[in-house]
Amino acid sequence: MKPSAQKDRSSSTVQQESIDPIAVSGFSVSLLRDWFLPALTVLFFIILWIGASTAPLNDPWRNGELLCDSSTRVPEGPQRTALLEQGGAIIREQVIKHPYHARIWHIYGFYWLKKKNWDSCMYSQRMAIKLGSGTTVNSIEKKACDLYNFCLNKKLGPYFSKKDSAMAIIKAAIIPGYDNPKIDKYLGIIYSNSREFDSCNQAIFRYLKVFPDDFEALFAVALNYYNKGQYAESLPFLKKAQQFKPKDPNVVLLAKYLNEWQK
Amino acid sequence: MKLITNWQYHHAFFFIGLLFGLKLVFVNPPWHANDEDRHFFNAYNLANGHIGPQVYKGRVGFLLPKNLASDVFNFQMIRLNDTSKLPPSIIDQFAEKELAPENLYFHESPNCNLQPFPYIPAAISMKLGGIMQDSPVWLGWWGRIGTLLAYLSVCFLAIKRAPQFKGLLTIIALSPMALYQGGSISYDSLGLAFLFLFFAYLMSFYFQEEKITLHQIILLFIIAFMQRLSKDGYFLLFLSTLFLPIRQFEKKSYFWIGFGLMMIAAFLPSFLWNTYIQSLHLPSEKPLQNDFVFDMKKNFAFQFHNPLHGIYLIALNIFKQGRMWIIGSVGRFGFSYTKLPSWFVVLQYITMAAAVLTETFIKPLQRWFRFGMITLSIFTSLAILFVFFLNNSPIGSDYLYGLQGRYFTPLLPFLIGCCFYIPQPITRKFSANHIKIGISLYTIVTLWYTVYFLQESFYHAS
Repeated sequence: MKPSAQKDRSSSTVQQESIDPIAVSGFSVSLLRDWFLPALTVLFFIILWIGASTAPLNDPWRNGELLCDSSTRVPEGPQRTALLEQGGAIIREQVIKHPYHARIWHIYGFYWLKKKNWDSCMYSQRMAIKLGSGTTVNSIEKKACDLYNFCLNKKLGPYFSKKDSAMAIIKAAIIPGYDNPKIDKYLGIIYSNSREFDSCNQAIFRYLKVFPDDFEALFAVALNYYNKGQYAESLPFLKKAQQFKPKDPNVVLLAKYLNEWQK
Repeated sequence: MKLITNWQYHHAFFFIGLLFGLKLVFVNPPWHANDEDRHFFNAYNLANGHIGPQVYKGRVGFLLPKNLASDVFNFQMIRLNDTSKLPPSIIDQFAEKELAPENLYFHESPNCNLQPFPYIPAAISMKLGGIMQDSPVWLGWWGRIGTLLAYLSVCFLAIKRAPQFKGLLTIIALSPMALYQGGSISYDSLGLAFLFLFFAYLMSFYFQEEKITLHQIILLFIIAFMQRLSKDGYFLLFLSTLFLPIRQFEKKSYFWIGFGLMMIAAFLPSFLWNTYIQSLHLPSEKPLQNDFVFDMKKNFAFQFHNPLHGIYLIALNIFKQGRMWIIGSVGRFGFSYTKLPSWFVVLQYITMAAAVLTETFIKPLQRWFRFGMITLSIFTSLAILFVFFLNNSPIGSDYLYGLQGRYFTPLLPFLIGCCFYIPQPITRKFSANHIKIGISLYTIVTLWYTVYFLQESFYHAS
């Protein structure tokens, strides 16, 4: 056999096919071999394409969160309680397993929120804030802080007019080394209720530096000045508060008094 | 007719890529490509002559004009969807705001230690373009244009050089995802382009009649080195030189020299850069995210105390998220994660496969070589999966976090090219010219649709 002919045969699959001994009715083994990989690739593609709907995969903390959330979508009753407790048990287990994940603490807070257990919710959010602060993306801190303040507000609700009890709650709610401006707002409300207008304004002004467009804070300052008889100082705060809620009955009433004074 | 005959794939690629790439630069909302805000800061820092990060009051990051940083933050991570869209006028308003370089702000960046190489085109373009228009939005656009030109130039060389798979390379390099990344400030742009160039040279060495010389090996090393300077994660593909037939080399020793140089290309860039960064004794940078704890060692210990369960979870993730990754390799855009329709993605894959199946090869692609390429691509994919599962997913998570389909786009020429190779074209009805024209028209239509789709997805009709 000539060397060149040998070389040609080994380098061309086309020629290999022409001498394939099993070639009946257009079918050949080499054809099957050639198409095996493309067919396998297409099959793999199809499996991946349709597999998404069938794969049972979810993180346990996400399952717990979904169950707690589902509990709010069913009517009050044993089913709601069962779903909530089932979800809570899963998240509790995850908190024990992974106490270093800020987001799981945050999710755990929603379980306590739905149970209206403000203290436990605040504790879990305090942990979330502690673990999840100072980051660039996917920050949990703000959400945890909002939930923390929501629970604090709920907890303070019955005590806003009882200064000593309210101050004790506030003192316990301060997280060392963490700046939470809403605390100043709540302090302002407590001072205002106990008619300590100067202390109230000090606290609210600190809060307004961070949230200059907060209606409640603006109105509180306007009211404080009015109560102190400093009508001229009250007016600009009232006007700014009016921009946000012009039809609020308290705003309308204070505006009426200040208009009378201006006349 | 003569024009069509002389018109080559690389000409078509450059013309179509420039036309639609520029369109994408402006249709894509400012800093909207994935992580583009952070890459933009790196490029801006380089444009101002800083190779590495800066330190200010014990913090590490970049000193930036305040209004530049605030404009970036205004657009950062906006999720645009059917209910939330941008009015086009808002971008015009921002584009007119001049840069105020005298009012500075220190931005702590978690990406400040990245290698500067992939930002060179964006930095040069920002510097030159900034002479004409220096608003923060325009600087972003200049950066994108510079990156796009670099992407197009490298891919142009790749398509021109490739002896086979020109059609496939053209389709992939002009795929919506590749061109979108190519026209945004990111290390993906040059990372993709140099891997395509590597593929083209590898194929040219395989198909050439002459023996592979030392010069050619060094050239391949330089391409691999530049790819690794741009982006990590794909260095396993450099080992594909091991699957070139040893008799193809001028000397047997060149085969091993090639292997050695590829290993150097895989590890030397990061070693040199890390040594330089360590010599600066920088404070630790701000964490990117800490809502979860990410720690590869701890996660490995957690997931693989039962190795079968760990592998089972990865397999489940492949099934669960596989479709999303396939879509992402063709078109899933920016912080909005806007997906192209499923039919489009399937069509794109069919077209890529068809481009290979209709190709006439000048010599057969040996099984050893093909399986080598496929194995390396699969191992690269698995390595990406494992790293994301262990390093980028929270400790103890079943779900694989943060992995996007675009990470697989660079593997497509290797995978599609070798998986759909058949020795004879599926049909000889179409001449090479017909296929060339068909592929060019296909990319024009798909990119036109992509631009239209993104405009509809991101902006109000007004």
